[in-house]
Amino acid sequence: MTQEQLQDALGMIDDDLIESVDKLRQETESSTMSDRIFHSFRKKIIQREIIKWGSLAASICLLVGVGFLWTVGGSKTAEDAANMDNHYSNQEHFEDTYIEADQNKKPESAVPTTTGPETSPQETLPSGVTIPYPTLSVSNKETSFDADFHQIYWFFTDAEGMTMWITSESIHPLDREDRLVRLKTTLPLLTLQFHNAPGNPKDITVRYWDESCWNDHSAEFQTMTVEDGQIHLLEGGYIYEIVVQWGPNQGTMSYCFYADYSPK
Amino acid sequence: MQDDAIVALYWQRDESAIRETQDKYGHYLTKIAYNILSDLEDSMESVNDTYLHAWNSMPPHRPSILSTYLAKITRRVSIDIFRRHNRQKRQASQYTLSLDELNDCLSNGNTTEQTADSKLLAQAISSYLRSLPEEARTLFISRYFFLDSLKEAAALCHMSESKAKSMLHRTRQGLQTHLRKEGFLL
Repeated sequence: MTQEQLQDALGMIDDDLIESVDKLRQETESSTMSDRIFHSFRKKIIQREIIKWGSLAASICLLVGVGFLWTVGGSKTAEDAANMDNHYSNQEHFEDTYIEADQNKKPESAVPTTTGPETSPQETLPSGVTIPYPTLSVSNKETSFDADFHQIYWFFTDAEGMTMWITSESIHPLDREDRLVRLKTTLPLLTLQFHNAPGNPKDITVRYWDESCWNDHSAEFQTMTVEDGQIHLLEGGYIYEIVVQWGPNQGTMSYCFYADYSPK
Repeated sequence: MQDDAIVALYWQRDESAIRETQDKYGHYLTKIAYNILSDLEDSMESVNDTYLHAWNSMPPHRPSILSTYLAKITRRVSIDIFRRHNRQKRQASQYTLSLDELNDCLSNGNTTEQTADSKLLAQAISSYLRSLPEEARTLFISRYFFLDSLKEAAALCHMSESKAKSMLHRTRQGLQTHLRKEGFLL
């Protein structure tokens, strides 16, 4: 008997034996599925995109350079310099955008925010592929904002009808002290609303850390429950992570934000 | 959609059967294929071939457990692809690793090589697996049928990798004894 004969025979063992293990695997699949598949997939997509956009950018640069030399002759005018100044001025304005309960007032403690993952998976996808992975909108009577992504692990169907998946993991919420979306509020309840979601989530877990845990990887998180789609904020500043599962055939997402609740 | 309904679509020669299968079992089958092939594109090819095999085999087959039926096809197709691609060069995958481990169950090279009937051999293995405690059986099937990594198989049984490794070793030794007793090994 050879190794291969034995492997072939193992592929023909009784169905009920396989089924009992299969059930167990499916129950634990979302937490134990190997990351290497997803990393491999993501790496390939990123490589493809870098090549595509890199060659496109190089071509455009070449064309613009040749055109510029042809028409202007290489001299920089005062008007060009003014345009450049405006450009930098606009960038500064963009970086000063905040999300706060009071949209018009910049609080002393406010920190610039991000409104998406460090690397948006949408940006790394081949053209024509869109993933309707769910976003989380967090709101109360004072404000509404989109929570940052932390982990994305999502199955989707591509333009050719193939089942594909995407995964992305941003840096840990506790490492995002300067970049995490921040909320300062006087209201204790926050409503969670999912957009582009394929029905109701199967499970929602809310993890939180006290703000003294910033940059402390060893800090243990606490958990709280979601009731009627709402979470009850703790008094003071906390980092919240919302881990949402839509089932093994759909995926798991996790979102994070910082909220500082102080009652009036 | 329930498995019965999907199987009924195959029997009605309705092409939506493949889409429903893909929706329900796409990533499950891809995981099995990837464990063997360690390549995403090959895994996709294997899963697509699985749909084709399912389409061609239903009817006449009417599997009672669709997931297991498809898993067996994917496993077989993936192993065929692996053997085709790796006749000259053997690459690291859970399949090659598990093949090496399964040497324990084979003869030591001093005995007469015997061509075994795969079906009879599968029956003998099944009967041996039924005699095992549930934990050992789950671990063995996870590792050698689904070709899960040792880490994943251990996690499935809530045990450490070292414990899983020694349990698998004992199980393979037991299988070797059983196969010898059944006349598959001399």
